Amino acid sequence: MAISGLVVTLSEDPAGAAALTVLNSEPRLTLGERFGRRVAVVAETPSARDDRELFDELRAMPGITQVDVTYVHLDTEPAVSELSQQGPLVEEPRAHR
Amino acid sequence: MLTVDRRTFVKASAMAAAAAAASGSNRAFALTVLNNQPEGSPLKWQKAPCRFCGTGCHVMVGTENGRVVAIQGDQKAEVNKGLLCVKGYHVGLALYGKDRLTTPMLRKNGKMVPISWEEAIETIASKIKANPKGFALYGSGQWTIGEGFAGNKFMKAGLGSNQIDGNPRLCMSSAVTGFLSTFGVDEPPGVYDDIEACDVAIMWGNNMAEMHPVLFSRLVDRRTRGEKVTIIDMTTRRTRTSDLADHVLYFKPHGDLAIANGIAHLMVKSDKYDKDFVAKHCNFRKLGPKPDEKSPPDMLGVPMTFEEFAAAVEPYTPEKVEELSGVPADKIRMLGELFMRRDIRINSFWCMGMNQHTRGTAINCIVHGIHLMSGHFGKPGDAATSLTGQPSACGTVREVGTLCHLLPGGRLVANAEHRKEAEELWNVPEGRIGAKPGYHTVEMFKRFNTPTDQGGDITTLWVQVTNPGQTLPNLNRNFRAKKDLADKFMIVSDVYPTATTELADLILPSAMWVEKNGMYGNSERRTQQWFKMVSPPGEARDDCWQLIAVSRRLMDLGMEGMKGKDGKWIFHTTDKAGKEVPIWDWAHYYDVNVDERLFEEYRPFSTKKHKNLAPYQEYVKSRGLRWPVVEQPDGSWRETRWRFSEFDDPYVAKGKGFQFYHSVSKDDKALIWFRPHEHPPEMPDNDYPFWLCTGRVLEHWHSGSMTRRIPQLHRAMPKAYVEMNKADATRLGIRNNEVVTVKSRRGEIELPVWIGGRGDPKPGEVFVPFFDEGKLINLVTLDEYDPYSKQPDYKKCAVTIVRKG
Repeated sequence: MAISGLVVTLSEDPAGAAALTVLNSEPRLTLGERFGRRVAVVAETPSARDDRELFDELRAMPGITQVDVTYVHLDTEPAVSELSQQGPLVEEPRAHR
Repeated sequence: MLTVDRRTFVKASAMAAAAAAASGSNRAFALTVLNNQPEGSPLKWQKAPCRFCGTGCHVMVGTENGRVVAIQGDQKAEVNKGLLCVKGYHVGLALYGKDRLTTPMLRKNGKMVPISWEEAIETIASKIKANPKGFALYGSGQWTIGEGFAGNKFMKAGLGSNQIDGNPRLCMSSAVTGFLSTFGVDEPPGVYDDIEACDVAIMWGNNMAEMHPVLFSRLVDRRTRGEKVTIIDMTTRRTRTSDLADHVLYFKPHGDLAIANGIAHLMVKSDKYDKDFVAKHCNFRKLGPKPDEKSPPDMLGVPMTFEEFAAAVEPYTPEKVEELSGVPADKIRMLGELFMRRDIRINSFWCMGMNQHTRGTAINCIVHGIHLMSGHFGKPGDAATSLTGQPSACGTVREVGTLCHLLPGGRLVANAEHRKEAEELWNVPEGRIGAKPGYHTVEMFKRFNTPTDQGGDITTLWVQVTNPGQTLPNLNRNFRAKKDLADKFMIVSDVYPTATTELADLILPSAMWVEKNGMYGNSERRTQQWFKMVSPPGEARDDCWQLIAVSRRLMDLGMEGMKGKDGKWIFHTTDKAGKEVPIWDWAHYYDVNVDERLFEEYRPFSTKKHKNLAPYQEYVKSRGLRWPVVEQPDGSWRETRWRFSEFDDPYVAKGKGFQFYHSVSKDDKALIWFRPHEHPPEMPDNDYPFWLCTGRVLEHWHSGSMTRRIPQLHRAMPKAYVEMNKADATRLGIRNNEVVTVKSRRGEIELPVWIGGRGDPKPGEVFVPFFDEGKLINLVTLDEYDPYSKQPDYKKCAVTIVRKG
């Protein structure tokens, strides 16, 4: 489970308003207060990987000019088990060669 | 798994953090479920500077059951105001890579074998005692201030050896020589507040959007508030910074020297520069004659008149600068006109583009010079800002003086008065500190990688908190040759296996970041503190303890250098009752706060060059303080933002306006240098027709030894690549993702090509990031260096691109 606090900055043009509509309907997001073009958002996803993918989706969305992360809470156990499922991140530790 | 209550609490925390940052204010946002949090609140939150870059963002670290489980941007931090970059918000995971080093290991019969700490310490002490002159310590801008101070004391006040250097030699030493040559003292006069006050921001070969993203956010964020700020990106390739710039000026390697001289030329020709400021506060300077064939001219130069300066910059017409730099003449005029304006404020920013440069001292000097000459200096928004890459290149290496020619507080080993002061402060006998500088980094490793009988007089090398096996230039010559030298012994203290541990003879597992007490000093002179929050894994121990334990063992073996004038051990530590605390024994290392003790011992060193530090407890209370920090009549401590400016610097005498109180010319004036354009030492030719530039990427910090073990960052940027210009690739018949060989006179590696990706080099140029330990681009790079700073140039050498098959 990954929970992130984000600040999403919307563009001034109509794409910004459209983006806001999309954000409001996105089940992984909870929208908070708006401060001008900036809106506080909480993202909740099943895993750190999904959290990262959502972050990339938001950054690429028309009408969103910037996404800043202010808080991350990760259950680290799933990240470690994700690693072991796909094999070691690096080759065997060099110290043992 | 999160319980419903805990999940709600965490979501509320996340929303509070986001809302606070989004509001841009210090408003507190109540956690509405605070009253409903489970009994025994799960998380403990403490502050720390981020482990990664020199920006010095503050994070709040949430720990639970002995682990870091949450990170949020610290809303109280002036640097980042609650925001973090993609690396920062994953920094907690850097501690939990699967292959963390947990046991000392010694190479026996070609295999690494676990050993005890006792055997490890004994091994190191024996090696040093057998040949103390052949021992060198290589440290780091990621050392904490305490670690660097202990290392410096161990070597210079203990062994009486100056064979200590640090990896900022590879990243910041040209910035140092630039500051010293101009102001007589190191580090920026300005601060990050200049970002919010400038009208024009000029990037001098600096991809700020990726390398200092939080600072870049501060700049760009002004536009979302409706402010006008012009960003000029001077670069050799298009980057993410270019995407947000108003003007992108592509220049040829070393073209920056011509551009800066071109700006000076225009100011002189138009007779539009700040004459009053120059007359009162500046002298002109040039290099003098060489003392001999081999040596460069003295770094501090000789005086020149304004008329001589004007004649020196006369050839740098916009047209000539266009020829030398590739930047169109009308853009040079645009830059000149900006500097000639008195109604705007200009902040120049640079990092490795100007520092990793065989004329790094020169370009640093002349960029300072155009700011001084134009009067764009010393006021909020008018600044020439050198940014650092490492979290404590400033706080540890530059300020504590862990380089082969320095002593703490801006002193020099070659200066008898400075040595005497240091000996007194360290309470060691007169004459203990050697007068001759040791070997700088490239020379140190060359000597270590040369057979002993052929002049390789460094035989034992201890590397702490850095990865020279990946970061040194020309790795085959400067690092890998060690493999065939049986009598050379390398000790490596680190947290993960790296390209450096691969050739180590002894590996020591180290604690990292919030697994130990520590202090760092960032790019804007801000010294920051944190407490240990979690324990290191297995047998890993603090790097500082390792140094101290070896020192103690050496004393036990009879090395007199490990004793002070009073006959006591140089790291002698007592409790409040005056009883000695055996801090060499790990079981007692945390009986006292060794970090605080070392910092308080270091503080008196800091006043000589007006780099005054506050007491340790002031840093505990704050999110860092920018030196000089001066005690006020009411007992509070006031930091200084703008040095040398009367309105803010308490050491500027009343009525002076500006005072460069460490002036090279000893008259309170700064120096405006003339330094000519020169071509790089290796340029493309028929055999090697491309320029190679190397650098970093947003997702990975430096050699990637930490960030590549964070799954999210690794997935975002898994492997290195070579960026090619589309026209070049088409001409050579190379497709996107095709694997090619990048080859220089020194070595070669295979890399996949990336065309039209994140960065876009100009025709004739390629770019390779250096974070990937499976793709060591430094096998290819050149080890030529600046004659003053000894900093190598990783930004330009000649390569060829060869298709496979």
